[in-house]
Amino acid sequence: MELTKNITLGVYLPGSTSIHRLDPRTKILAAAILIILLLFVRTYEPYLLFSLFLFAVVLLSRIPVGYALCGLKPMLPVLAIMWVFQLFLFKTEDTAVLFSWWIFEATEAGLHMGNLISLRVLFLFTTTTLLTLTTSVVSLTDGLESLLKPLAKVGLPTQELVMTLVIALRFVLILAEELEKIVKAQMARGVAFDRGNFLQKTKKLFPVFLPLFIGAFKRAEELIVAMEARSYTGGRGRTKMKTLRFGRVDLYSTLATLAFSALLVFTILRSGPLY
Amino acid sequence: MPLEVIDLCHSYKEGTPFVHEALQGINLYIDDGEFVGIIGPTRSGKSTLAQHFNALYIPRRGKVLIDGNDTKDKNTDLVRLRHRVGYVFQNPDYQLFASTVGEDVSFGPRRQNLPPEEIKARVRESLELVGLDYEAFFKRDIYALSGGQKRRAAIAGVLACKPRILVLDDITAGLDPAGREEILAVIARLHSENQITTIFVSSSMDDVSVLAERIIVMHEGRIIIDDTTRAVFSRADELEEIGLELPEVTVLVEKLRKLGYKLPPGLFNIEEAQAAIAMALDQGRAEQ
Amino acid sequence: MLQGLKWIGVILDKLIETIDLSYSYRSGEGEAVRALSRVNMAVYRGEILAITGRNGSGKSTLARHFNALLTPKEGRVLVDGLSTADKANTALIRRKVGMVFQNPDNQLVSSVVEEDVAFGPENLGLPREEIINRVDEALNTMKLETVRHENPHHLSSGQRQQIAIAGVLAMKPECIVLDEPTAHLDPRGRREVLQSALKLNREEGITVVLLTHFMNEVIYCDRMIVMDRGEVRAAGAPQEVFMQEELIREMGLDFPVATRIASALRSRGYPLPPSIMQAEELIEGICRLK
Repeated sequence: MELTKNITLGVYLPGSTSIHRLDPRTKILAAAILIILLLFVRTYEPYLLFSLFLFAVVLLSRIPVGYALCGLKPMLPVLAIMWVFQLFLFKTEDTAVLFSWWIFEATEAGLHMGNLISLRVLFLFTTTTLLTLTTSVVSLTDGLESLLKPLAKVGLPTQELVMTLVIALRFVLILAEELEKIVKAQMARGVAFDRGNFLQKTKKLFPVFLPLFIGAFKRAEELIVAMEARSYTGGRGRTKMKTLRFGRVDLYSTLATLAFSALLVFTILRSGPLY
Repeated sequence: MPLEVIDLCHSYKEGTPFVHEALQGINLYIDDGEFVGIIGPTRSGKSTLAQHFNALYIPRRGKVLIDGNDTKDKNTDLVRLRHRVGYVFQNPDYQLFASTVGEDVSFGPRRQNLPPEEIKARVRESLELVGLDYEAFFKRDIYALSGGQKRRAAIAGVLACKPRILVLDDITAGLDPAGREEILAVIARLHSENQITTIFVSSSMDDVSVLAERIIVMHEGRIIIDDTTRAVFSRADELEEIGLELPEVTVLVEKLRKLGYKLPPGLFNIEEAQAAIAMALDQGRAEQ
Repeated sequence: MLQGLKWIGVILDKLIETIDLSYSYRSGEGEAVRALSRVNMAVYRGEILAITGRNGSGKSTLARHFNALLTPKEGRVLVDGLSTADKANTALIRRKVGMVFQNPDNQLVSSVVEEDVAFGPENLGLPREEIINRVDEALNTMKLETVRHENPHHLSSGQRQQIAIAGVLAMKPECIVLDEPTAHLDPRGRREVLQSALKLNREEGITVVLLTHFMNEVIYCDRMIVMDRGEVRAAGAPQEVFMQEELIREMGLDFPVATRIASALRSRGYPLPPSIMQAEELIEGICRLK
C-alpha cells in the first residue's frame, strides 16, 4: 500500500542540469507550445517525433527514465475506460466493424480514435510533469507571473491566480498522502481495498472521499493562515529574491523548440487527419 | 497468537530517485501476552515494520507470520487477520470516519455482518474498556471529543473487532499531560486485564518505559537492541549515539551516578529513582 | 535572559498586551463557544514566555491575536502600542510578530529551502540584495546552509520545523510566537527546536512566546502563563507557578521531573529548596547536602 510512489506531477526533483537552470519562462513557453500543438495531432507519426523530443529532455535533465514514466501508472485505469468508450462509441460512415458485442460495435475508426486520445493525454501529462520535475514551485510562480504580466495590466488578478495554481499543484502530493492514510485506516478495520475486481475496488473508494476532502481543506486552511502570518497579502508589493534572466542558453533552447515545432507542424500537415 | 518476522526487508519508492531502504533484514518473535515497545528516531522504520504486522504492507522480501499464517500467502484471509491484529494510528482524525462515536466503534463489527445484538454488546464493551461511558458517548459527535477522548474512541473502534494483538503507533503524540496519562492508563489496564499482546510504537522513551517489559530499538531499518526495558536503559550511551533521547529520569540518575552516588544503572521509573536516591543519601548519612 | 534585577528593569516594557480580551466562535452545532474570556496578560520585551494549559484551553486562540490573525471583538490587543483591531496596523504588526505553527508541512510554501525562507521578506517588498542577505543570515543562524537547495519534503520533520523558524526569522521580527512547534516532533527534534528558541532569545535578543505541553520546555522560560477554559489561571516565574501544587494538578499539567524528585526527597527530610526545576539544580542541591 504505497500510493505516493507513482505521483510525479507537482514533484520537484532538485538538480543543476542545464534544463533545471533554464529560465522558467523558456520552459513554460515550450511546454505551452507543445501542448497546443498536441491538440492538432490526428495521426501516429507526430507522436514518434514528440517522444524523441521528450526523451531528449529527460536525458538532458538527468531524470531517471523509469521515474519520468511511472507517473503515468495511476492514469492507466482512466485511460483504459476512455479507450473502451471510444472503441465502441466513435463511428464514421465508412468504417469497418472489427467485432460486435451485444448491442455495441467496435469499429476501426473507434480503435484509432481511442489510441489517439489516449496518446494525447499521455503526452500532455508527461510534458507537464517534466516541467514540474525540473522547475521549483517558486520559479514556476515567477515565470508564470512574468508571462501573464500583460493580462495583469488589464486588471486580472494574475498573481493570485498563479499562486492558486501552484498551491493546487502542491496539493497533488498532499492529497495522495492523505488518501493513503485514510485507506490504511479503513483497511485496518476490515475494508478490503486490496481484494476484489476493479469495479468493487472503485466502489469501496467512495466513503474515502469525504474525509479526504475535509482533511485537505483543513490543511489548505492552515497553509493560508501560515502564509498570511508571513505577511502575504496577494501579489501586490512583493519583490523577488531570484530575478529571471533570459540568457543565451534560453535563446538556443527556444530556437530549438521552435524548430522542432515547425517540424511537428510540417508532419501534422503532411500526414493529414486520420479521421 | 504469536507474531514472527523473518528476514523482512522493505523499501519505499523503489525505482525512483527517492528510494529509501526502510527495513533491512528484520527478525523478530513476539509471544502471546507480551508488552513490547518499539522505539527509534523518526524514519528508523518502526512504523513501516508495525504496518507489516497487520498486512497493510505485504513483504516482497522476507516473511511475516501471524499465528503461523504467512501474510504473503494468497490463502490467508487478510480481513480476518486485520481484525485479529488491531492497529491504532498516530492521528485519530484519519481513523475515525463515522460521524458519531457509536457509529464509528461499530464500523468493524458491522463489516463482519454480526447480528445487531452482538454488535451492540461489542460497542458497549469496547467503550467501557477504554473508559468512555456508553450512554454518554454513544451518540456523541466525533468533533465534540477532546484529543484524549478521540484517541480512546479510536482504540475502542479497534477493540470492537476483538483483536488478540494491539499495535499502537505513537498514539500519545500531541496530547497534553493529562490526556497522555489517561491513555497510558487505559493501555496498561487493557494489557493486564485482557492479556492482549501489546506493541507500542513510539519515538518517546518516556512513554515506552512506563509500560513495556521488553524494548526493541530500531535504527536505520535495523533492530539494534532487543532486550528487557531495564537492560535497554542501562545502555544509555548507545541510545544517545543513534539520536534517541533518554527519559529525563534516566539522564538525571546517570549524572548522579557519574558523580559517585551509589545508584543502580538503567533506572527510568520516577518512583524507583526517588527511592534509590533517598537510599543512597541515607547511606551517605549513616557513614558520616 | 531575564533574571533577578534585570527583570524588574524591563518590567514595564510591554511588547504585547491584551486588555479584557474575549473571543467566541460558533461550533458545528451553531452554539457560541467562549474560547477566551476577559484575558489580561502581557508579553514583555526581551523575555521568553511559555503559555501552557490543556488542549482546548484557548492558548492557540490567544496566540493568534498576537499578530492579528484574529482580531478582538471584545477587549483590546496592543502590539508595541498599536491596536490590532485597526486594519491599517495589520501589516506593521505582522512584521513585528512572526508566527510558527504546529505542523511544518502545512506552512512551507516552496519546494526549495532557500526559496521558502525568502517568501516572507519577498512579501515585505524588500530590495533583492536585502532579501539575499536576510536569507543567508537566517539559514546560518538555524544551521541550514547545507540543505539550502534541497526540497523540504525530503528532510526530517525537525529540520522542516527549523526551516519554518528560519522563514520567520528572515522577516526580522521583534517577537516570534511558536504555537506548539514540537508537538509533531520526536524527542531529538523537540530538543533542537527548543534550543533554537532559546538561542533566538538569548543571542538574537528576540522576544519568544512558546506554546507547549512539555514541562521540560517550560522550565527554561523566564515566565509562564497557565490557561484553562479561556482564562489565565496563573502567571509568573515557573518556580513560583510550580509551587502551587493544587493548581498544577487541577490544570492537568505535570511537574518537572527534578521538581518531583526534589519534593519526594524533601518529604524524607532532606532540605532541598522548593524552587528546583532543572536537573542541574537538583544535582547541585543534592551535592550540597553533604
